[in-house]
Amino acid sequence: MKKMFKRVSSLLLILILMFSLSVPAFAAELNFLGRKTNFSVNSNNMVTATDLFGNFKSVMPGDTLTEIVTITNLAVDCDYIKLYIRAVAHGAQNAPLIGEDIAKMNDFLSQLSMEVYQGTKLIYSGSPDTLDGFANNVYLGQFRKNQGTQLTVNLQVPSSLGNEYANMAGEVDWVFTVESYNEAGKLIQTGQMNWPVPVLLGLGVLALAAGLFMVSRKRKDNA
Amino acid sequence: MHNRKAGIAFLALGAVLIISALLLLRSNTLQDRQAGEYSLDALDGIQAAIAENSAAAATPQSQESPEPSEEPEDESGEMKTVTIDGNDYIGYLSIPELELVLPVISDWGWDYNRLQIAPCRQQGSTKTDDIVIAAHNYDSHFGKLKDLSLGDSLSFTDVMGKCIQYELKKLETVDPHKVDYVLDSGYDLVLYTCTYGGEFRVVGFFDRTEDTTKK
Repeated sequence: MKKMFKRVSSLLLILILMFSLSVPAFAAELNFLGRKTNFSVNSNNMVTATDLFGNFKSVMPGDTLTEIVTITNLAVDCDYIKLYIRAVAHGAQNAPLIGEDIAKMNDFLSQLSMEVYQGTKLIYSGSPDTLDGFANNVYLGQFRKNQGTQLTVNLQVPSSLGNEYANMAGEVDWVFTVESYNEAGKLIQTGQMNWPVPVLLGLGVLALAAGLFMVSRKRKDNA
Repeated sequence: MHNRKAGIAFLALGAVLIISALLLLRSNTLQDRQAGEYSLDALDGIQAAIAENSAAAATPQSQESPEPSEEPEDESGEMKTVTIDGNDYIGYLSIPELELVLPVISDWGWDYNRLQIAPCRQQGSTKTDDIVIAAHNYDSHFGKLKDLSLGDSLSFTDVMGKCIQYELKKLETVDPHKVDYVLDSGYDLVLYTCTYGGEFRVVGFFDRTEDTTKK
């Protein structure tokens, strides 16, 4: 499969864990729509348009929460994509969108623990302030149109988390990168599945003929 | 006894194979018919749009400029389109020898769903004389392309009503990996589709003969 054309599209997601503020939680969907449109995020979160962590709000000590993120390739302008994920640390060059003090926010996040699974494969484990397995691009797979993958994100809040963290919010930045490919080296396939018709018919007639021969031969032997 | 059982098994297998063949044939026939209907529906819309565009172009201007106004020639090579049911079309093909009139979708965009509706432009433009159009080998689309003869003519009418005549210069069965041979052929218009078995491509290479604008 020769790589003809590759374009890289990235989406920086600001994922927000909020210790207070109750907001409705909905399913999180990330769709790649193509080279021109890039990504769409369906989370219906009230915090930001790209916040996939709808279930990580009103976090309380002792909570174990799960967010399932479904990622689907809906592009029609490429044959398939390769998908990657990585995390971006906050610092002077990357201030959190929610306006929290970076040191305080990272301190809050360091109290929590997060695991990310792709299927049964653990691809990230650590406190959300660390990059852990997401320090570099992690390959999530190759997907044709309407194919995709799911990430299961588990967040654990220690029961010992103190009141000093009340009303805190934490932000995690994930970057999804897509490489889109077209299969080159061949003219468009513009044929119906015609060839099996005569093949099946021919084989069917042969099988019928063989069957009739065997059955009639048996009758002759009995005669 | 064994022979009898084997014989019955073969009879059953034969029946299954023949029924499968007939079901597949029926499915292909239905798909072909549906593609023809989709094309007809789109064609109505395109022809209506052309009539509208032509009427707008022929609208009398002020007395100071008695000549009918014309749209300035677009030198970019981009063809104007009309949108019907979510698909952009650049015009339609008429192939009298095959009794075919087919709309052409502006860009196949690596979407095989579009090819089930109408022939699709893969690349190029009638303005730059390098247009390549692909379609499925349905009877209602390009399935009869192989029945053309050298010298047969066709016309392409764009959405502004400009009609260009072409003549068939070469008709070949081509290996599908000979992409440049088809896409950079040097001919003004190229049509192609799969052979019956789907392994090769039937390709018609056409050159322009004359332009006429629909009145």
